[in-house]
Order: sequence, then C-alpha cells, then structure tokens
Amino acid sequence: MSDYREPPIWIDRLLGLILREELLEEILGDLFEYYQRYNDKARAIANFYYFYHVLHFLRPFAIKSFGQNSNTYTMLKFNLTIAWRNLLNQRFYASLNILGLAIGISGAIFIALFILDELSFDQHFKNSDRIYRVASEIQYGDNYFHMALSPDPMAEAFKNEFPEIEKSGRLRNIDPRIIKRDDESVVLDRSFFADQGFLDVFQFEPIAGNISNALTEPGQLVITETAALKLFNSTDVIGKVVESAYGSSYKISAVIPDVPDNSHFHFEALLSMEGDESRNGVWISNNYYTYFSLVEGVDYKTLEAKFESVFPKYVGPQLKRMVGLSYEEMLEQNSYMNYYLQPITSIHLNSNLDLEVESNASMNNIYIFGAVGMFLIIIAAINFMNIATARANTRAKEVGVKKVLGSIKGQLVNQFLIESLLQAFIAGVIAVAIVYTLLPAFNQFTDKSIVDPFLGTSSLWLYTFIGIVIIGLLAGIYPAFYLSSFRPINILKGSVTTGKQKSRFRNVLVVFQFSISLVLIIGTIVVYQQLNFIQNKNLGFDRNQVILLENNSGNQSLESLKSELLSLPSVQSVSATSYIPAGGARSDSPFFIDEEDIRDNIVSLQFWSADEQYFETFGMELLEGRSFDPTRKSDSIAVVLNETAVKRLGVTDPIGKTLKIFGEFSFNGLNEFKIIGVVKDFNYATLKEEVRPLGLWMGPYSPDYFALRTSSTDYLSLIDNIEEVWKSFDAYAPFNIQFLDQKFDAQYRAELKLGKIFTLFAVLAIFIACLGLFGLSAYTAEQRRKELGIRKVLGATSGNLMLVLVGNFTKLLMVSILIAVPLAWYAMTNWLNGFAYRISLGIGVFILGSLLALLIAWITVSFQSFKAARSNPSENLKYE
Amino acid sequence: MKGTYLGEFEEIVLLIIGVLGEEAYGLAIKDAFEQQGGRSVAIGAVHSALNRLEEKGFVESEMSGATAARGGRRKRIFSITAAGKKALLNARDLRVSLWQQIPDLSLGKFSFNV
Repeated sequence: MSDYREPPIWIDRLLGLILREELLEEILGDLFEYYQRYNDKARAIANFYYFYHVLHFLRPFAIKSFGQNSNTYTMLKFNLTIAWRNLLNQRFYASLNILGLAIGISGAIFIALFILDELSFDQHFKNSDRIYRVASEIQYGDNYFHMALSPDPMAEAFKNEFPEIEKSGRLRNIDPRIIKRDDESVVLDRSFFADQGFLDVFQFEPIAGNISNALTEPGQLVITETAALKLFNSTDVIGKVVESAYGSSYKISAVIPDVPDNSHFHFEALLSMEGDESRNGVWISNNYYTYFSLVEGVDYKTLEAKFESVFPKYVGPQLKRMVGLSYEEMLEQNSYMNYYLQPITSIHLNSNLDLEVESNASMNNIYIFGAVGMFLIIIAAINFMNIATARANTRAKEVGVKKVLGSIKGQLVNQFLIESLLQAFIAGVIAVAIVYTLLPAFNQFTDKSIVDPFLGTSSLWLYTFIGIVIIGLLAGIYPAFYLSSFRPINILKGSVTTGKQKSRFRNVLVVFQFSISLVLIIGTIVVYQQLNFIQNKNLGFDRNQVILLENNSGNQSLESLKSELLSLPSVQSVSATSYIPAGGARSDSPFFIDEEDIRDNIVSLQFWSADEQYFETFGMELLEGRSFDPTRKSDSIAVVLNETAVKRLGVTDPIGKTLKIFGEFSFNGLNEFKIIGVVKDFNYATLKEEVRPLGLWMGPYSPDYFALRTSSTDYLSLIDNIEEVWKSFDAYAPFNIQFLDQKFDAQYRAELKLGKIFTLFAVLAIFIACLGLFGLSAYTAEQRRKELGIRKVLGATSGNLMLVLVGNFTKLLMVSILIAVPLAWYAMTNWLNGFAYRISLGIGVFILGSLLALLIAWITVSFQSFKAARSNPSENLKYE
Repeated sequence: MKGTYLGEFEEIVLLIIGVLGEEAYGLAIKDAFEQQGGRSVAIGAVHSALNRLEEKGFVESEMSGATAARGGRRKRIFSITAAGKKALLNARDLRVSLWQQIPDLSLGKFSFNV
C-alpha cells in the first residue's frame, strides 16, 4: 500500500454518505486509481483534480434516494415549509435580503465572466503554452527602451543557435490597407507583414489554400475568413489578386479562420514580408515582433539566460562597424541590451511595454474587479446577518418553545441555516435571470461575445451553485448559532433583549459595509477627475475641428489633391502625413548634433514625416525658427525638433545646426539634416508617458492621412464636399473620415471603461448597503415605537425624534468615513502613479465622497424615521 | 425498460466497451474516450452514461478484479448485450443510409469513403 497515496479521507466519507451503496465501491475504486496518476504532483494539485471529478458524481443517478419516511427527509421537508412560511410572514425584510443578494450575486457573476474571459487570452492557439514572444530592454546612453519589439535577424539566428527553439516567426506592425477596387470598394480593417515562420509557430488551420508555403514568396497574402467574405463574398479566393494602399499587388495564397477575440493580436490580412527590407540583418534596430515555439519540456527561463552569450557574435561586428564600439566597450559604458521571453498567454494581462501590438489589459484591473465582486457579495451577506440578528427577539419565542419541547441546538441551527439557504437560492435564481437578461448589454459594454455564461466551457454553473451554498451558509451561520443559543428559561420569562453587545456587532457590520461603499465612491470620483484632467489638459496641440481623411488609394497626385482640399470653403489648412499626434510612439533612430562637446550625446528620436502645413493644421506652436517651405530646395533636409529633443541633445542654439544619424542608418538615403525650427512639446502618446524626443522632416513617404483644419462646425456638408473632391481623383478609392478628437479619446478607452465599471459597481454597492440600512432603520423605528411615543407625549417634536433616529446611524457613518478615507487614499494614489501626468489628490474628493455617502444614507434612513417620528403617539401607546 | 434511443456519447461509450473487452470499466473507458475522442470527460459523466446504458439493457456488468492500485476495491466490468449490439448496428445503418442519400452534387465537396 505504501506506493499508493490515499485521497482525502473526508471526501470519501462524504461520498459514502451521499452515493448509492451499490455504486460506491466501483466509484471509489475508479477515483482512487485516478488519484494515483498525480502521484508525482503536489498534494494540492492531485486533490484539485480529485475534487473536480468527485463533484461530477453529484448526479441524480449516483445519489441515494432519500426514502419518503426517513427522518432526514421529514425534517428537511418540515424545515423547508417553516422557512417558506417565515419568508412569507416577513415579506418586507425577506425581499430586502433577497433583492440585495440577487443584485450582489449577479454583479459578481458578471465580474467572474469578465475575469474568466480575460484569463483565457491566447490559450486557444495550438501548443500555446510553448509559444513565447521576445521583449527587449535596452539601455543606450541616456536612452532606455522597454518594448515588445526585437531585431529582424533574431528569429532566424536564434533558431539556428538554440536547439530548444523549434520554430520562429515574425510579425511587423505596418498596416498597408488591403483594398479591392471595384464599383463598391472594400478595405480590410487591419493587416500586418508576416513571414512563413509566423504561420508555423501559431499553426493556423487553413480553410483554403496551402498554409505551409503561404508566405514564402514576395507578394503572397493570407486573409481571414471574414476578410475573404468581405472582399469576394466567398472563401474560394485562392489566387485572386488585391492591392495594398501602397500600390503593390498581392495574390491570396491561403484563407484562415478569424483570429479569436481573446488574442493579443487581430488582423484581417497577413502580407508576405519577403522581399523589401525583411532581411536587412540589422541587430541594433528593433522593429519586429518575434515569436518562438519551444521544444516540449524546455524551461524558457533557462533558454533566455543563454541569449546573452551569442550577442558578441551577432551584435558585436555590427556595433563595431556602425557605431565604432565593440560589444564589451558598449557594456563598459553602462549600456546594455537584454532580450527575454514572455509566454504569450501572459501578454494580455501582464505586458504593458512600449509598442505593443495592441494595448493590453492589466492584471491590476483584474484584481480590482475581483475585489469589487467579493465586496458586493459581502455587503449583501451582511444585510442578511444584520436583519436576521436584529429580528432575533421576534424569533425568540419560537426558539424557546421548540427547546422546551425537546429540540436540540443542532436541529435549530439546521432550521435557521435552511432558512438562509432558501433565501440564497431564491436570490441565486433571480441573479441567473438577471445575468441572462443583461448579457447582451454586458457583451456590448465589454466588447466580448459570451454566448452561454453558465453552461459554456467555463462550467460556471458549478461555481455559481457552490458560491450560492457558501453565501447561504455564511450569511446564516451567525444568526443560526446566535438564535439557537438562547436559553429557553430566559426567553419564556421574556427577558431576552437584543442587548448592547449584539447591536455592537451589527454596528461593526454596518460600518464595514459603508466603508467599502465609500472607498468605491471615492474611487469613482478620482477616476472621473483624472479622465477629465486628461481630456482637458493642454496637449500642445489642438485636437478639435480636425478632420482626418484616410489616404488609401495610393494615388500619386498628392499636391493637387491637397490644393483642391484646401480650396474648399471653411478648410483652413491641410496636411498630408502618416503621423497623427494621437497614435503613440513609433520606431526610434539614434541621432546626434554635429558640434564639438555634444557629439557624444546620442539621443533616440522619433522621426516623423510632415509637411509645410503640419503645425498649423494640428495647432502646434513653433517656439523658434520656421516651418517647412517646399519651395526651398534645401528644405528637403530640414528638420524641426521638439523641446525635449533639443534639451536631450544638449544644444543651446539649435537653429542652423546639423543633426546627424548615428551609425549606418539613413532616411531615404539621407543621414544629415539641418535644424530649422523648434516646436513646443506636444503629447503624442497617452498621458501615461512623458513626451519623448521627436524630429519632423518633409519625408517623401506616402501619407496615411490628409488632416484638415476647419473653421466650421457644419461637418456634414464639409464631408460631402471632401468626398466629392476625393472621388474626382479616384472614383474607386474607399472614402473614410475620422475626427482627431475621437481618435484621441480612443487611446483612453480602457480608462473610460474602468470609470464606467467603477461607477456601476459603486452604485450597486451603495444600493445594496442602503437596502440593508433601510431594513435596519425600519426595524429600529419599530423597536423604539413606544419610546418615541412617550417622548412625543412629553413634548418632543417630530424633528427632535428624527434627530434621535438618524443620529444613531450618522455616528456609524462617521466611523466608516474614518476607515474608508485612508484606504481610498492609498488605493487611488497607487492607481494615479500609473500616469505621468496626473491630478493631485486633494481633500475635496474625500469630502465630496463622504458627503455623498452621508446624504444617501440619510435619505434612506429618513424614510422610516420620518414615518415613525410623525406617527400619532396614541397609536403607538394604546396597547400599553 | 426505457426507450432504446442511443445518444452520441452513449454510442461511443458502448463502442469503447466493445473495443476494451475484458478491461471495460469506468476509468479505462474514460481514458479510451479521451484518447480516441479527443475531448476530456469527467469520470462521473462516464459512470452516468454506463448507468443509463445498463438501464436500457444495452450492457451488463459484474464486479471483479480488486487491486491495490484501487485501494483494494473491485471494478465493475461491463459487456455489451445482444440488445446493445442491435442498437449499435441500427445506429450505423441509419448513418450509412443517410450518407448515401446525400446528392452527388455535394459529394465532391465532402469527398469521403464509407
């Protein structure tokens, strides 16, 4: 026997109680045998799997049928009847309890759905547990990069170097729109450049075509099913030819299924990166997402530790040639490059590097949501406990009589637990109904597409069921023991009161509820203030009244199109550019100023191409010098720097100085530029980041947008006019308009959503807490009816009585404020630290939040108090 | 006896019992199902199906083979009854007959061999 590990004995005993005797032996035998499979794993893991299968035996076929005449059955039936009658008897309090619990549970279920979906990201790829992405951390002089990109040759070189790497592939974040030009032009949403290795790593299953050489040749194109249907209304499209916005044509080589929503990248088309610069072999510029799929059983941490050993071999010669430093010399100058692996399944929640494929979610939010979900349920459960204990003396007589007639404590505990379980179950059923009803709204709100929340793959029904049982037990356990512990002699003598001690316990619970609600309220206010701050901050450019016309036709007559657009009424200026100050950073290149003393000051600049009306169109302010002038021939090498760039380059009087690219890089064959102006810093990335050094020049690249600044707000007619001009140049090109301010807002979608979610749950939490308070205040008012009657007879006004009743609760709320304010301050300071530009937390937020909570609580309590205070004393006293 | 309807999961379990022969008991059937069927299933689900099959009279069972690996407990070994065999044949015939009724037009797309 010693070779075998015994499963947890209590589970087996429990099964013995529940399962049919004739099935018990084989079931326990199978489970035992199964348990041995996890012999080499930790106990906890083995127990987890064991428990999973045990739970799945809780099916009708396996469970004992409880005989009609067994004692258990009769008692259960009896207790249920009593519970049901009690529920009907106290409709008011029961419905408060159930409503609160139902709202709490449905809120928690939605949160669980959200979290489960977030955790499922990138799990769906074949062997996703073996796929990794390379991230890089580079320190070069004063420049620090921590980004999701890696160099072009790495994928191939590392695969050859390390046998642990099975396959490697690359993705490049350039989005030349794929277009089918026809009477009805179609543009695909999102495309990337990719290589064959990328297809191999992720093992996409083709719907049509041969996936194993779908991206090996230049000009090949892989599209998704949706894209195929959009373009040709069919998936039988192999060999068809479409165009990219840059004018080159692509031949479709394979169709693959759509990328699932829960992936860290989405695309409608993958363009072959063969040809072009895909093999430029440069190790010191990082422009590619590199993915590795590792051989089974390889520890990625061990593998990534080996990366450094091959840098001298690959990076060394290039450093020497381009920069004039050996790898070792670079390290001596406190520069370094560190590449490490990220499991792709962790990217969505744990990777927030620069230049991610898409902006990711954060694990912190998952924790926040999880906590909020727990709080909702706790608040609802507290209501239950409070009202149950508060109403104790109405139940006391029942307990006393039962005890005198021979009930033992255990039976009474059972009875009260069944009562709370019944209420929890009713609440659970209502919660499930709420979830199904609100599911479409939830899906829309969170951009998810959950079809069946309970019976879907996550088997949430099981957890919901267990959760409801636990809530029922937890909420019922304190009242059950409290009520059943009454001594019959005291009860029947009439001397049981809800003493001071018990009301203290209730008070603690109320304080706890309100502290949580208050933290949520303050959190909501802070999130909104910060969002407001972001939206109204002076960004260094004016995002209002700028229309962006997407340039996806590849047409060559830029200048005449520009001047036609400019001649439209109410258009003040037009700029053709790919660089909108709302899209974040793009690739950097190293530059320096060719002057004595500061030559060693190498700074990585964003290098954007712009034109003469760029600054005017985006409302940016030139601090020194001038804008571009296309009529001057020399302006082809003119550059405008931002303030940060000037500061970092260390140049005092920048105009006229020469800016040089470091090493062997070049832009369109040029590697030397003349500084003609300095533009005031503007925030082109989100306000989570500081402004980074930037240079602008008149690059000859095909622009993605025409940006139009307009003086009119009559957008409809203006857009009609723009479309007319656009169509006159290329009748088949798709016409797409965006607004700069909307593009700007899109950067803060995650935060806006967080704000909304906070509000929603803060409202729910305070609502549930108020339900409890409402019940409690009704109860207190009822308890003190006689006292109030006497006070009134002796001359107290209704106002005085209100004060007596409300004052009691106000004290509790004051304590909650004392507890909640530091907690909220701590939590929100942490959250704000994620922003480079943020509001400072003033005392005003806390006062506002507290007042709001007080106000809501007062209103809630006043309902009942007012009724009690106004009532005629003769009514209240006539029974005495 | 309940109706003689045979569900998809039950059908596969029944076939696996035939395949496993002498070794057809709960856990072994679960393993075979996961290997061949390619999806995972709870032990309880297999037991539940076996129980239904027995109620329908498609399988019969006896207890045997206690080993230390099972904590000294016996297995319930299942075998197919004549009625079970008949139900399997009926299910297969129905499928074959339906396959044959698919018009030739669409056959090119399906391309299969019965």
